Amino acid sequence: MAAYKYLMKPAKDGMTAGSAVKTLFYTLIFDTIIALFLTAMKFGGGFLINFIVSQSIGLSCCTSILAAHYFFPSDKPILQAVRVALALIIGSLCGSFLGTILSGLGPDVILGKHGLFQLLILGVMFGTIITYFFSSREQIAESKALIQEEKIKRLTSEKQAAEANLKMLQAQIEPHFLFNTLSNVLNLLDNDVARGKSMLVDFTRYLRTSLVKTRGQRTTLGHEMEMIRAYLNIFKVRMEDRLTFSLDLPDQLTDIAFPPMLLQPLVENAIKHGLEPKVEGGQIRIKAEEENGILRLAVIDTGMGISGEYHSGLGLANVRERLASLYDNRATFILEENQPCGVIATLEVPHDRS
Amino acid sequence: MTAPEAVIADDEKQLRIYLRSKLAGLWPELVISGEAENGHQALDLIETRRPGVAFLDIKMPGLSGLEVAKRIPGGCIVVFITAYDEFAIEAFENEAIDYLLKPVTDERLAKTVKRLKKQLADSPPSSPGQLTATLERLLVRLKNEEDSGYLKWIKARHGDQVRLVAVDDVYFFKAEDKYTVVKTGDGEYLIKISIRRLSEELDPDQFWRIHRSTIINLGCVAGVHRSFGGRLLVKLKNLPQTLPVSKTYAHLFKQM
Repeated sequence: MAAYKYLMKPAKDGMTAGSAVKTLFYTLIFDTIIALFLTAMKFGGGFLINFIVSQSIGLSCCTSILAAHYFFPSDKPILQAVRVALALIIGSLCGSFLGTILSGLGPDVILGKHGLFQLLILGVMFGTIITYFFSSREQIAESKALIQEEKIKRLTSEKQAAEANLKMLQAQIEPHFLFNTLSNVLNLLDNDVARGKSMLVDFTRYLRTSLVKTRGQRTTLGHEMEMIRAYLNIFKVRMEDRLTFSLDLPDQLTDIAFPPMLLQPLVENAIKHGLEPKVEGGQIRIKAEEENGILRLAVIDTGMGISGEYHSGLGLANVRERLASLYDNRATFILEENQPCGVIATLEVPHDRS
Repeated sequence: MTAPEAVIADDEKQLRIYLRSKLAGLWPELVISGEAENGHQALDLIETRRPGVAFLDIKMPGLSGLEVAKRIPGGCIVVFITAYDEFAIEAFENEAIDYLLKPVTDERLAKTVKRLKKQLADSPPSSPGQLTATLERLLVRLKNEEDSGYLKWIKARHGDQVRLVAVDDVYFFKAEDKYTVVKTGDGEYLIKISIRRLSEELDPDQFWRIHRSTIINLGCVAGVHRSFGGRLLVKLKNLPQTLPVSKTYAHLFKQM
């Protein structure tokens, strides 16, 4: 929440006293420039008078816009436009009277021959400039925020990668999995040594491939499937008749590059939240296929489905994060209801031929 | 004195065999009168056999060991078995409830056997009321851990399929005509649940209603800024467009 508050700051500061004073200050400078410009154009009655009138109209318009902004905040663009227009008219009128009085010309000038025309020109000029100034400042602030965001993104990406690695490590040595597996091995070593050994071999294969690959970026899909087979073999011993599984990997896909530990969390979820809690157990099927440069991997279970306790836990969020960082937006991950029960998790990634 | 009876409940067969053989070595007189592979079986078994001791695995399909223990009649001493349950173990230690950690070692099991023998000799066993209260607390706590009661998944029709969308993955919900658009990183879905109902069922710490027709996921917010007109606009990560905050909900952001 702390970082979030930081991001919120610009909104809160959108209309502080500080930014209002700044706007008034810039208006002062613009007014001076306008006065110089008008004098150069031989418009009005000399620099001093132009200066006083410009400042009066400009500051008056600016103040009324700020006041309108402050007292009558609005969501609707039409109301915003009406508000600005009204503020400009009131500001111009007040400013002109004030300016003519202050400069010693007297308010009669406005009511004179060119008075109204001059007022209109000045009003539009000030209005446009101030409006432009407001919106461009907003745009600058926005682009600054974007640059900042990019910077934060870049700085945090390294940290995120480290965190993701850690999460992956923790996932692999999930205590329930670890201790239950070891308990099974212990019993099998007393009663069925051959099966005990083969379970230990599967466990070693699972740990080795997952631990080694956590550090590297890529492995092959074939290796990844072998690791998952070892993982499921372990559960087959533990769950016996309650679990049946099949892995379907076409030969031409065994050697393609694939990120480590991307498919495993889906299998783990299917077991942990789908099949293990289900009294009668069920089936898990893993399918790989390639079509038009897209590699599709599906993990299909006949478990509890999300009506059970299929939580949107860390595993799935982690998968999404990793997909985003590995493939940008070129990968998809969807979950669907399986019929009549269970979940289908499908990963689609661009087929990497390298 | 009749031979003491016990039942073993664990969903993994190898672990039942393991415990049975260990017990046979350490406590030969104990009769294992039955084994159960899920919570419901365990409950039935205990109710029909009325054993003096029940070894219950905590994590079982159907009913958990904790739920079974809560429902069984008095006069049965429960020993919980678990691979790893931080909260449960902490609670058991506080209340002197016996438990075994997997893999079960001979030393640890010998201690339990000694204690069980003493308890059976001293019968009646510890007051069931106290045990029930502890279990009640534990179950509530575990339930809160995994289930906040808020909506976690959205089911959205997509062609012939029903997509399961985790609410964590939703950027925002927006009412459009009589449907609600669910925007995620993968695209948009249409659902029939109203914004009003969603706002009641989603976790209010994660989802904010910012407009009569809009609910945003706070986790997806990149920033909030004020437009020239004083309107608050929410910018979401990875999305080009901004979402307006209506006056009614502007206070949510001003407080920050």
